[in-house]
Amino acid sequence: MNSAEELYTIFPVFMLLDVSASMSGGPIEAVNAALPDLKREMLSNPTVGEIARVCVITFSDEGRVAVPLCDLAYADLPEIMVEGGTNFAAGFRAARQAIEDGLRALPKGTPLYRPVVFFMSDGAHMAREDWHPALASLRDKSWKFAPEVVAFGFGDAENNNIREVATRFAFQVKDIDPVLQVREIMNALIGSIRTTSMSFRDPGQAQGLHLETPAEFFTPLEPLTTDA
Amino acid sequence: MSTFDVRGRYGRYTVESVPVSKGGVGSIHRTTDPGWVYKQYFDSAKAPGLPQLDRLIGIGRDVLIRDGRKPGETPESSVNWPVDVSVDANDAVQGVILPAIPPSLFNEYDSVRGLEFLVMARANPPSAKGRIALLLRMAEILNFIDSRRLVHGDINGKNLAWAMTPAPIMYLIDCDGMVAQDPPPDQGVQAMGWTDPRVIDHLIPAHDRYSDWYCLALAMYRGLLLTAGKLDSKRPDGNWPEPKAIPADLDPAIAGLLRRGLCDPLDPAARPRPAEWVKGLVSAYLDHGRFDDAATQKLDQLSVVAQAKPTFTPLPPTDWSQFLPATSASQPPQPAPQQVPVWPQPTSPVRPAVPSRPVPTVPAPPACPPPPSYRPAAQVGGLAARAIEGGTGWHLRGLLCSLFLPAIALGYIGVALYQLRDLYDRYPVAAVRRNALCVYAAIAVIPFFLDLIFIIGKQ
Repeated sequence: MNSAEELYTIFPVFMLLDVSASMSGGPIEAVNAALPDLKREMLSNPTVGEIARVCVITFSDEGRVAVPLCDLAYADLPEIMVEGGTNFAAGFRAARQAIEDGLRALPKGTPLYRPVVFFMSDGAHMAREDWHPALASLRDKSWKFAPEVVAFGFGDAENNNIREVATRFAFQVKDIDPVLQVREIMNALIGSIRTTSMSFRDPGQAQGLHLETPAEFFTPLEPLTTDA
Repeated sequence: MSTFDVRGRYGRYTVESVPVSKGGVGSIHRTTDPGWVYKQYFDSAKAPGLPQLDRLIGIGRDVLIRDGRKPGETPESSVNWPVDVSVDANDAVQGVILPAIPPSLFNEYDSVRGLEFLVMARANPPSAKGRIALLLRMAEILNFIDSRRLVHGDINGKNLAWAMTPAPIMYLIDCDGMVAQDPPPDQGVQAMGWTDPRVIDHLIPAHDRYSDWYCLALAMYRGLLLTAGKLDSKRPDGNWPEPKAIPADLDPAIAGLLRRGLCDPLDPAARPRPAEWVKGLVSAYLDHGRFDDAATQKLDQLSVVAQAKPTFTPLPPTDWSQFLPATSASQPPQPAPQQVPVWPQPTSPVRPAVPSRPVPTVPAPPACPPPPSYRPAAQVGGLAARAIEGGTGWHLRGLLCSLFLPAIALGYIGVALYQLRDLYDRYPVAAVRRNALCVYAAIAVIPFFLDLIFIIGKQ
């Protein structure tokens, strides 16, 4: 019954979550509590559910796809567990692969907005390898699916790293309690997905991405390099 | 619960301070009367104008107070009319009193069950009869609005709430911003997927009465046929798309109304009035006050959402064992070796070898999608995970016990080594867990040797 011409344009969202050991306890529990809330958003708001496709990627020493790009309303959610160290490069590689796999798996002709990666980390890169080539590969402008990267730092995250990761938007969470910090980031993600999905514009355009990052909780950071 | 008093033109109200919800221009507060709520505007400058509100309040009081209609009972009472207004000393609007939305219109997510739950296939909408009943009521509501020469201006998937039980109700909300049809509004809001193409093409500054009609046609298209029906994006050639999902065997009158409403989106004069939809739905799907079962069943068939069905391809008959790899585990059962007879056997002439038939080529089965690569880490290194995430005290007590029983120490070492093996096998790196397990194994070695020294010394 559906004509391809009349389909909603898909808004692909990739959540790139730090699951290093420092996330153990409250922070990882806050992440696990937020994922059902995101699923509930897709169920309680059918228009958002029709538009947003979500992928959850975790990284510590390795990057993994915890939930492949999908309609989250119909997904079984895994429990995200803490792992080991912090390797940004592994996360960026996994994100690029997940974007490539996820978007190519969509039915041919599916209208798409530019994907958005929401990066969240509470620490500094700890592996020997340089993470910048992997980030450059993820943000490579010549790549068909080059995403917008929105970075959130909290805990011991270094502001300069967060600023480097973001394409246009970087934030440091104000709260001191790491559990509240994670909760505020996840609320911001859910709100941003909701508002952007219901808006008229391509999230990749200047005014297209609507970030629900209230000033009482988030400090905007100036990105070091921008794609805009 | 703290409260404050609101003085309206027609009465006084005691209002709860804590809002039950917040919107773009104001917050909703309960009053001590469960039938009414108070909408307080954040900014008087952005509140609707007083003359416009007076007009709406006049209709609302006639319908809901003078005639005593309950919300949702009739088309005219299925509008969230303001019935009173609060102004300050300068006549600046502070807020309005509105009917409380009936509880039956809320869903399990504690939000109103909006039109999107009726017209989107993913929301599991009612069958054709239910959808026809509710869409008919929607057309009647908009017909009443139109008859009072008003524009709603923001008909969308969230501004109509509905319920099927105890009786079908359609209810128009966000109505305090309704304005007169003349002059046409010069400002307003639009929702994604429900925007008049004339606004997008800047032919008009804001939704007008014809935009309400356009949104009604969109709701019919999506709701009757359960198609995505997103028509507010131009095609690459710069033209507006025409609705492509109208089946050839849809009732001709309904198909005609859909085409008039949507095929030329820049021609408002072609759009059917709400009254035409009422007439069209009644004549297509009702017969002397009862549903025409044949017509509604046909609509159910026409609006079936195509589901991807699993495929099963019969494979050509062949001896499948020949494709097995040559490992012992995958070989089919072999016949038991026969015992060599001890007496001489009659020899038979050697028969010529039978040429083997060519093996038919087997088509490759369709590729299966790879399984998700994520494996939660809960299954391995659990001992370390427990230690890292709060179980340290428990483990320390266990290690203390091992001072007295070498078997406990041995057990610790064994479990730690076993889990270490799992970690190495399944994760190249899981540094924190691996290190924790090494530490536990090392700690357990100390009491084990102390136990041994103690036992040897005693002997």
